[in-house]
Amino acid sequence: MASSGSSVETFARDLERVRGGLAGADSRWLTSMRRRAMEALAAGGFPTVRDEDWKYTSVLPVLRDTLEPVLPDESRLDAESLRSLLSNATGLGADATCIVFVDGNFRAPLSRIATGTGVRVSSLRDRLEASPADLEPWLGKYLPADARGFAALNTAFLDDGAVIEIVARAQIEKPIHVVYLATARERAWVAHPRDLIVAHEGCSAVVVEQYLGESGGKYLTNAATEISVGANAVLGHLRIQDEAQTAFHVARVEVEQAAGSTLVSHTFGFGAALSRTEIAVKLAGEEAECRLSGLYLGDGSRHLDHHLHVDHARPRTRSEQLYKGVLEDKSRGVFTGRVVVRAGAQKIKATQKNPSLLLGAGAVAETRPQLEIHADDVQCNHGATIGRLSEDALFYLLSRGIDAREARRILVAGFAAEVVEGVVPPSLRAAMTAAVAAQIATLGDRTVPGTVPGTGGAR
Amino acid sequence: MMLSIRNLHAEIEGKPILRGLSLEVGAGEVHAIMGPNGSGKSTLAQLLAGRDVYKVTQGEVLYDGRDLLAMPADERAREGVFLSFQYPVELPGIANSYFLKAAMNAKRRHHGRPELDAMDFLTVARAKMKLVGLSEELLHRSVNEGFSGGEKKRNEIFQMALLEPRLAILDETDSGLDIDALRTVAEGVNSLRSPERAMLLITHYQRLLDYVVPDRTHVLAGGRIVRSGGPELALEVEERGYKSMEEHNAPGA
Repeated sequence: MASSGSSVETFARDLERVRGGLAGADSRWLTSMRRRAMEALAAGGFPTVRDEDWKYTSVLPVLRDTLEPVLPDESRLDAESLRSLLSNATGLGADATCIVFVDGNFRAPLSRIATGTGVRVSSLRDRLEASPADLEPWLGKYLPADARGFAALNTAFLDDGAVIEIVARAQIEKPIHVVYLATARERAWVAHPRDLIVAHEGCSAVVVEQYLGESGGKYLTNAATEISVGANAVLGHLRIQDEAQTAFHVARVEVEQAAGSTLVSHTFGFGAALSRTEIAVKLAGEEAECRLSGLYLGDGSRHLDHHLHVDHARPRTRSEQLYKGVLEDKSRGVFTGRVVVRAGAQKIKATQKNPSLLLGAGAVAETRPQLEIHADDVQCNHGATIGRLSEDALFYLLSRGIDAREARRILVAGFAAEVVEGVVPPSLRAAMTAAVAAQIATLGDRTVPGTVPGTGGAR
Repeated sequence: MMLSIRNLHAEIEGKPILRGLSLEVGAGEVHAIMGPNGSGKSTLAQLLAGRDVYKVTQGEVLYDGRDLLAMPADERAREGVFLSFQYPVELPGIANSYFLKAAMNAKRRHHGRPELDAMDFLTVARAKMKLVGLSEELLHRSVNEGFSGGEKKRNEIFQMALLEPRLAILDETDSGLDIDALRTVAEGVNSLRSPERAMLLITHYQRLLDYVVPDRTHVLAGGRIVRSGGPELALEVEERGYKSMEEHNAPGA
């Protein structure tokens, strides 16, 4: 069947076709939310490079194929192959709590969900089937149904994902893993995973969301995650995008933090032909603090776009952004760091750093700090650097007998190390350090099978 | 001869630095090369270690009879050439232990020996750190980052002890050291003297040579060696300065 591309119309048609089977189809609020989202998408369409926020990222390649929804009972890979794919997940020890999805659909046999430990982990679909009213106060609270573009598309198809609730004052030491496995199907497909993380007052936990793809897979992961960090809670959020090199990844993470809470966020952009990751944090209570770190590794003609938005809505809130890019070959990295300090939000501290390391002669780094400050007692600084590997450092390693290839790898890992440093707990940090090292070791060698549909975005 | 430098001419960005330098160093010998600023000392050190910013326009360098200049820097190191840097490079984010283990294993692989694992490495490293009075904590810090001047230089000698070079070139290892650090470094260097190992001590001042007594001393000026002698030549330099020697303008070596 000839592929004629995806558009608002094809998605609307697909939604008509599948909506009877979506979770909680009988629930009026849910149906209404999906409908409003589809209307918002129809009204606003998908973003284009004329949209200031998408100036450097064209989504045309993403929509070039007809992306088909994957129904829950369609499974292509056998259990053994899926387990093999799952073994690529980072920090997933034999006894780790994990909820696993295949092509967007919850797979209980692959998951390991502990109960009665201060955490409740469940599939969104299960929850919406069992008692949708429980989630009504939360779903769409931070990511409204009428959000634009891909976020609206996610809500329109909202069906499955992970729901993680951490009980007030629970201290959860072991990370909770959410793993999305994407397989290489015959036809290009799309999933709209929707996660909800509610960290209640005074709790402490780490949630890892990872997106892994089978080599050669042609698909779009259109993810959305809503996160509530309750008063004085401490939440670690680690996000690993390691999609197939031929896939697309568009994600929106919306966080709201109550007073005295801390968010420690780490984002790793490893895979996909084109990815766009947006993280928006609203510091909605005094003394709330977020630390947003990220590392993106590009090679070939891949395109990685990270877009941060921190809203200092209340006084005495603090934010740190540290995003580092390593760009090999003709890859392109885009970083936008938006910081808004609202009127009356005094005694704010906000820092932003975006160093990029260009390895490839044709690699490009775009960096855009956007500071919008409506208060006067604000400490705010930002810095972006774009550099190449230091010849002095390289020679130092060579002079110790380390060959040029390994020397470069060591220097890149050294550049990346700062991002991984803040990962907790230490066992996860160690796993992440190893994962980053493994990614760096293959950087520039990851040949993409076949042709990638027009990667590189706006050129 | 372990090292034979013959009529070496080299330039950087078209500017000649070495102009007909010749030098012979045998196994087990320690040679001091003294010279004023700009005489070409550091160029010689870096060039021997394989820094590719220098262009050799004439002459040759033989290391155990092999063409040293034809070997890339990393291969020279694996074949036993070691440079102690005048300005050791800081490598943020790279643990000293990781860096050193990578260097040791690169050399071991090259010589067909089994690689060291983390535990083996620690055992070896601990023993050698004592030699130069470095605390073990520095193993776990980023390479040279936040090290004091003395710690950086001692870290260089520590690396030399670990890598056990056949030809060690020490570029101004004494600069920036207080007297205690100088003594420690000198003791480290002396303990590494051996009949199989040659050393080239490159220095501006004579004071290192009070502690590490060379077999031969050379004065480098204007890109060539203008005087050669025994250890006493260093004292003469100290007394009379470089000026008088440059005027001799003796033929190389």
